Amino acid sequence: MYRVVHCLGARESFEEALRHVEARKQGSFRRGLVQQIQRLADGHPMTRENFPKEGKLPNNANGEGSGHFHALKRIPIRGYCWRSERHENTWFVSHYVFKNYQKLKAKDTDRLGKNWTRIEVDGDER
Amino acid sequence: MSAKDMFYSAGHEFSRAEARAYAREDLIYNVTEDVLFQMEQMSVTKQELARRLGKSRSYVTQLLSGARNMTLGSLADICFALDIEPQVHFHRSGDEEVVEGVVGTPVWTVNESEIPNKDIQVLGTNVLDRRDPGHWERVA
Repeated sequence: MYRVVHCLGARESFEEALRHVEARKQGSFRRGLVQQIQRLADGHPMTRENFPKEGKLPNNANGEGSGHFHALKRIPIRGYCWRSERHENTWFVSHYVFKNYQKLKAKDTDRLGKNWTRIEVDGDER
Repeated sequence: MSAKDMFYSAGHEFSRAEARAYAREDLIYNVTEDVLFQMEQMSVTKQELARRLGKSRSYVTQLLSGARNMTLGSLADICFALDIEPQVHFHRSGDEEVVEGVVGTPVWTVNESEIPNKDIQVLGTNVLDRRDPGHWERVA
């Protein structure tokens, strides 16, 4: 089993992403993300289809790659997250976006990278 | 604590209709995710599953996305096509004990010796921690 942590501002970014969804569908999208995070926390296997590797994490202090971050997919909402190396059995959700476009945006990689650095390198877990 | 606490304000009370929607969508999501996972493990594409079922790819896509209602019959057909056997366990809500019979979703277990000590501060409703064995004592 795992611990799943919303980074600072993650919840707010979810509410912002949800505002772009039709009002009558918002409840279903909220439930969808709840279910994905519950499954992740429960340690059940996640699929590549709905929990794909989405991009690369920043390099570590030695200049080596730190692996990939994933996306919790509930189209068109994405929640970007990574599995911590600093904290055992812990996933951090950086933020959510309303993704009505194909390619990952650099600003999302940057935002996740800043959260990753703050938590994994600087040790500030929030 | 559940993942709901990460997405709802403290004190949010779920109506019976909301709770029922959760129960329904939980089952659909977890069953379809389990089927998709099996397919990925076997490298079976939706196209291939559609071929084995004698259905269209869009039918399979709709079933596995939850957009189309999956009957027990269609689930049985998918399992047969994948050469896997489903199991269903029934237990009372919040209770791990099986009520009666086993036909169930996989039983997930955790070796408590593998659970690390909590080493970091939990910051309220932004955290869902399923690593803590004491959780079960508190909710029991």
